[in-house]
Amino acid sequence: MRRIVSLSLMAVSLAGLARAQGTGKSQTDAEIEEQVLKVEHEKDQAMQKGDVAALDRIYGDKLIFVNPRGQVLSKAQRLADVRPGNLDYVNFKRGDYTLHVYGNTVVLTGLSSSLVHYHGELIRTPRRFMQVYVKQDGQWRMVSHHANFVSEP
Amino acid sequence: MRRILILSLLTVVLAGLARAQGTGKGQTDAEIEKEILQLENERDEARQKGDMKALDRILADDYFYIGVRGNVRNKANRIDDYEAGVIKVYSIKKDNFLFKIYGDTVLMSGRETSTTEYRGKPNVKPRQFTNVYIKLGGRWRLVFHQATPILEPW
Repeated sequence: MRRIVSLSLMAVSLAGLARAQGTGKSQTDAEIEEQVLKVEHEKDQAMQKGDVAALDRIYGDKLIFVNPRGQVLSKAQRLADVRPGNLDYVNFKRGDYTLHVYGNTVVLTGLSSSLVHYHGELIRTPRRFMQVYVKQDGQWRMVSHHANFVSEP
Repeated sequence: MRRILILSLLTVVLAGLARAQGTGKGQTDAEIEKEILQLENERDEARQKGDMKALDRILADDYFYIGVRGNVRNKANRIDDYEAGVIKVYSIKKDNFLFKIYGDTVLMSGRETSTTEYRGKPNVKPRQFTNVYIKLGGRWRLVFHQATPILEPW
């Protein structure tokens, strides 16, 4: 009897572990959204400061970054791009966030209407962006970014 | 001895199950890419034929996309566009694929030079796209799409 109870307990706990790893459901979606938004805001701070070390921590190593001109940048290219002189914010405004949670993956969209100097050009046009966050070794990391200029429908 | 053997087997089986569910590593990355490419081809065929049943199967229920003008739309909007004939797809050409696999999540990036028409306006300009596929209920579904016209680089 004791053996059966032990086996059952082990089966239940390992099945629980499997479920938790697969879907991240040990947290509610609201908790996940809160965590991802926190990282998103840390990233925004780092972008404004040109804090490459913080961005290096937040960006996933296999980052795919698509800018509003359709250029595809790797993590190394993006980190080289955010240094002062290449990217300087006049003001920073982001909002209209939506988050879709799929376990350990979150698709976040938002609207940026920041005024920014980028490679010598002043960009005023609002940009609609998407970012994918994936939880890796317990940390949410941004693995994809894609932005479009917003124009008349 | 028999008890130890049973416990060991149970541990191995359930740990394997945990790993497979967590990372999708039951398949190699190459196998996953092949599956996604096949599904992407099915979606493209459905776009050309206006096959709503196939699109409904491939697009996740909460599918949404950011269009080339930065507008956000959902699955119902997209299906309505096809049913109303607002969007027409004449030919499809895609290349420069990049795949990044994170267990049951696949990021697919590529360039599309398809010939399409939206509300009577032809679109032949090259677009850079990102697709997010996620395995839901054992099936890969497209949960997000975004396309950007390719302009002169900065």
